[in-house]
Amino acid sequence: MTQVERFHYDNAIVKKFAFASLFWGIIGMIVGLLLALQLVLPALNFEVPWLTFSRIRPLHTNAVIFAFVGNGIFMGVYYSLQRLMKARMFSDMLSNIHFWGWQLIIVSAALTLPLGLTTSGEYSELIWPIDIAIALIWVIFGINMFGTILKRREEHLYVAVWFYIATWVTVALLHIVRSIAIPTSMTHAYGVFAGVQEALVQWWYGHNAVAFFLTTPYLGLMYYFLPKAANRPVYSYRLSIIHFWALIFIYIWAGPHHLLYTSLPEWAQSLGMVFSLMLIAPSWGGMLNGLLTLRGAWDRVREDPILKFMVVAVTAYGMSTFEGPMMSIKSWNAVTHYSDWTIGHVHVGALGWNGMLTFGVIYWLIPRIYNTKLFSVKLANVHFWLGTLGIIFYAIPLYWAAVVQNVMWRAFTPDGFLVYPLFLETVTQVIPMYAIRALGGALFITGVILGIYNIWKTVASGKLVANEETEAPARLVHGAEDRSHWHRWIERRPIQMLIVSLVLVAIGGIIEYLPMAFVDDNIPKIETVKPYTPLELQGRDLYVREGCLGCHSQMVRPMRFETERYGEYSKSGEFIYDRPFLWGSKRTGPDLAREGVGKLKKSDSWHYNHMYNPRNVYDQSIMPAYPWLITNDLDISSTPSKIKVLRQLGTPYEEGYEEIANDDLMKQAKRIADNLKKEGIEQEGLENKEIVALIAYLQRLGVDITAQAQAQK
Amino acid sequence: MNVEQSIIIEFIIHRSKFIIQGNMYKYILQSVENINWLAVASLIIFFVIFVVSAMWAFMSKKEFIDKMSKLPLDNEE
Repeated sequence: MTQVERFHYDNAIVKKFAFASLFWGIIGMIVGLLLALQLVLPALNFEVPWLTFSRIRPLHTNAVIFAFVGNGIFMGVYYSLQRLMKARMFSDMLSNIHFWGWQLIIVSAALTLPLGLTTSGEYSELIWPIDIAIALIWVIFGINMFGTILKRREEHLYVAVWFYIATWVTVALLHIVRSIAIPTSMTHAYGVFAGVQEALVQWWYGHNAVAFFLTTPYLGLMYYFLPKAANRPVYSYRLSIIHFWALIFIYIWAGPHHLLYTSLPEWAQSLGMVFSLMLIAPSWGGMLNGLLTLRGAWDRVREDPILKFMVVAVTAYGMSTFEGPMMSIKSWNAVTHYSDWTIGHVHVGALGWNGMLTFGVIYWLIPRIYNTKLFSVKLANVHFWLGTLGIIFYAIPLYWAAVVQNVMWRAFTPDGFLVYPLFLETVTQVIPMYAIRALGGALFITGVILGIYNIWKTVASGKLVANEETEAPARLVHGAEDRSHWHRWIERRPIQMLIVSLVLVAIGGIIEYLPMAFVDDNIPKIETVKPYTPLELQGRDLYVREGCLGCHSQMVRPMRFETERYGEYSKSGEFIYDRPFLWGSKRTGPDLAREGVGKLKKSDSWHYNHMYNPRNVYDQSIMPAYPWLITNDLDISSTPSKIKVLRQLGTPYEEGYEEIANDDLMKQAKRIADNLKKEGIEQEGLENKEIVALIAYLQRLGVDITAQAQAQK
Repeated sequence: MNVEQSIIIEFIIHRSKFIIQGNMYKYILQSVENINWLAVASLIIFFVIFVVSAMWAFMSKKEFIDKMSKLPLDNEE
């Protein structure tokens, strides 16, 4: 007979992560609402650097992804893992280091991003010291998780645990590869990948941040909490096995669908598109598995708000995983990319799938660990409806905006000219849609506030069972008699599961990346493409600091309506010195790849006035003003270390150039300042200001490729 | 029979010859060289993974599957 052992589940750590998720959730969403309103009323940027749209947009995305959903993941994992393994977490100390370390990372992100300390890689914006902290805390989480799995009393690993293991190992791989960089200071670094190669690594990372941070861990939660809430087993455990392996293998290839029609080689684009299309099969398998779990229990869905939240979450998962593959088809991607469609799409996922599942789990879990009942079922129902309506009011106006944008961007007169050559005309058309979107967001947030009040009252009415007593028989280790099934080899062995998951996700990354790194043909060199001058380099880093890429792409696709509006389409060889690459993925403003040449070229004083206040140039512009660029002195002390690091990375600056780089910088700054004076700008010490560097960079955009065209003539 | 119909029939006959005489297969085989080995490798790997996981799912005994699917409900407080 096996001995029954008594032990305690740690609920205190679950509570901490649940509260942190709500706390950061509401902050992240309020920042999101502010951003939505700034697009309608640019005055809400207040001309304060750390409140400006472009700087706080990454704050919103990071807060919602890594703080709201991140803490939601840990809440769900720490609750379900203990119960599925019939064991307390491996170490209370590691649990607490994980919790406080993660919060510290969030706080440092919330401080650095509005200050403009960013790498500008989407969802990988944090600077290198924070990246190291994330890696360390992630390892702590991993030790704690695997420690718990190894000391388990239940021999078999339920499918939710597979999802947790795959999440852990893949996020570790993605984060490390994406973050490799050489520091130039404590707050700045240049990545080892440049241009097209960086673009591929970025979206391999970026897409899989969606896959392995927002999806796989939440699928684990779905497979645990949905059966719990419905009090019936998952519809098909067999399906969940196929769901898991097919999903983790296919997901990792899908990144290039963010780069369709760009300078990424054609084969990589096609590979990304095909795998993205295939993704619909496992995704919908998982969705149906979740929904069918409720077969015969739909009457309860009518009454139980927790099940309602979960049903909408799983349905939103189905919607966004249908939309995703469709958006990966090249011809449809030509429409959705750069438009507001993408923003609508991601919010169906974030608000619907992640948001609604988080609240469903919190409503289910908090009364249990506080040994009480939910304060108000009615209020939870109101929250549910506000949330659901909020998602609808959020997404539909943005889909509509995307259609309007495309119709206008692509419109030609019978003579073959653009009907709306001024990009701003296409922006002012969609502002009413932005206003309705903000209303949708406000509805969702109102629901969340009611939810937090409801949880608050629930918590007040109960008492935390910090250590929940339970018992389970000691683990029975099966002997030789059970070897008949070959898959037992992995089913009961977490380390094998970890290694096989890692191998599977590594295959996609390696096959897609290696040819880019080693086959020269993939990035044809262009003779006229030269490294940036020191002043342009500093200007480029200001462009990164201010977050310009949030609204401006630098990638002209080979389509007539784009080349007509912007000029020559972008080639991969143009970007070999670009660290970071700044292709962007959204055009709230026009593309800037050819800003310094052809019909798009403006005078230096135009840029000066426009950055000081865009409304001075176009009275309907919604771009924030950047007046501090005109008053701030440019910090040139960083030039030598930047030049040095770039040379180490292969940019052909001559040996010792770092010592004289600032002389060149000052010469170029003087030229631009003189020019500004000639054009009527009167300002003391103009050549020392940040604006001069930014102008130098903006005037460089597109120059090299035009020089090539002239040389060929 | 009008002109359009005769063109269609001629087209069908031509296609049929193309298929029957084996030119189509020859064409497919010739283009193998141009198929990206990456695409083929990734397809094969995916196929293997799919088949293995499907075998895993469907070769598992019913009792085992039932036991696994009830695991979350095991320790109902």
